[in-house]
Amino acid sequence: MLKSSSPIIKSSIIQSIRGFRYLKKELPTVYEGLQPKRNGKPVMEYIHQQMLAQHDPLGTRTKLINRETGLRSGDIIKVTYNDRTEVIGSVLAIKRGNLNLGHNILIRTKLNKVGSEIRIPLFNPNIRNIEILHKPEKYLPRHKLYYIRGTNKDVGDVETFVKKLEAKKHDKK
Amino acid sequence: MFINSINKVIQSNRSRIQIRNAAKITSIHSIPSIKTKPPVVKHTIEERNKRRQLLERPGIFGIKRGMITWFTSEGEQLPATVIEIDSVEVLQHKTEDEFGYNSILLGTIDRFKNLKLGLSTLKIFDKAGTAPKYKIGEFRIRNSLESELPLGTEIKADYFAEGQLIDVKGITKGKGFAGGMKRWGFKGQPATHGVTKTHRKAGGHGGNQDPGRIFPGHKGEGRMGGKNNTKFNIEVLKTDADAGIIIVKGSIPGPRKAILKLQDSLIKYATSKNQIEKEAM
Repeated sequence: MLKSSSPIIKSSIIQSIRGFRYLKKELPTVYEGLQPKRNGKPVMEYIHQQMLAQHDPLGTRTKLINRETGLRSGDIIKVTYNDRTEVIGSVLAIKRGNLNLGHNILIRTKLNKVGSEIRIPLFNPNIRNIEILHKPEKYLPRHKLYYIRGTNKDVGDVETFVKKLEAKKHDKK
Repeated sequence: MFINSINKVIQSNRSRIQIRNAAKITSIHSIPSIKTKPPVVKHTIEERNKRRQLLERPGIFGIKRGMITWFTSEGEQLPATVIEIDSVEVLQHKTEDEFGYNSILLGTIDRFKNLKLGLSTLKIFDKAGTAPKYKIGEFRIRNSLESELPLGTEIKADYFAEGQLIDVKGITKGKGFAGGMKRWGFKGQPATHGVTKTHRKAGGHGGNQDPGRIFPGHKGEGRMGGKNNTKFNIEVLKTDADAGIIIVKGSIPGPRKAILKLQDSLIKYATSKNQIEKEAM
């Protein structure tokens, strides 16, 4: 109990309430963080570069799907697989991926007067080579030519068309 | 007592009362008694910890970064997700003697600004000798690993082996207020045949005049997504320790930049202490 005849103690209590109280405890120290990985490069860009180096070291496939200098729908291409089988057709559409290897080319031909389409994954390791055989002088409108199916603009038998072109070249020579 | 007293009366008045050949009740004192063991109380925390299916080592934190296409050597095309492992460090050990269970406290992502942490949590980083972390979380383990994983050790992406099966925990994308067709896969109503204005409604909920209400917990429309979800037994395709990257087969719950919990497959690797004792016997 505090006695009334002890003014010193009373005043000290009042001071402690009114005055600014400093923290007696020590503040915790803050350490530095770890060094940033990949030199601060974003993860998706880093992994995409690695995947390209693995699946396309020469950069031939990436050149094919360049929007300005590469393929365009309407071109005729020949795809050879690792087991030496071949597929020839004209490009209907190119599907592009963003920071991944999910690019496809959709090819259309006519086999025995029946329209047939094949979707080709561009960076699949089973594919040996993709070669451009023919580029038309005049292209049809749009980049995705789905509307030509079953119309008078539809592709014919592409294989015989290419053979005739080669024969013409030989005649000129 | 009441039966015994009757028996005595009968015995004393044997001559007067005619006894029927009824079943005789044997006295309790004639049966020899055996002392049994006191029953083991199984509803304690210690016994529960022995029963619980736990992993030998803790999981780690990861950040979802996006999806890519993955080609196997045979030319098979697979969907895969990229997960970043960003400065995961050990912060604290919780032992069974002190807390009642064994666990490890881990943290990810060094951050010095906009930390919503108090002094007590900052002291944890001081003790461990690490930078303050954006996300802290606990991982339960079977036995304490104080000697194997001392404070402040960084866990890298090669913690998991390539070809291993893991579980991934995350929070699913929020879909907002969704109808019954989207949320539970209800059939809805036909488009034609005289149907008007009800094509995507839930239909009957099972109520009538009695009970006059829908029972609580019935499937219907409501808030969808934004809940915890785990994907079990996902295959690890690639790990890169220096770059801090794990690539995993298939999809994972949650949006990009979401923080995930990766751990060894519970179905394959988790065991309880009781099971280990049984196998040792």
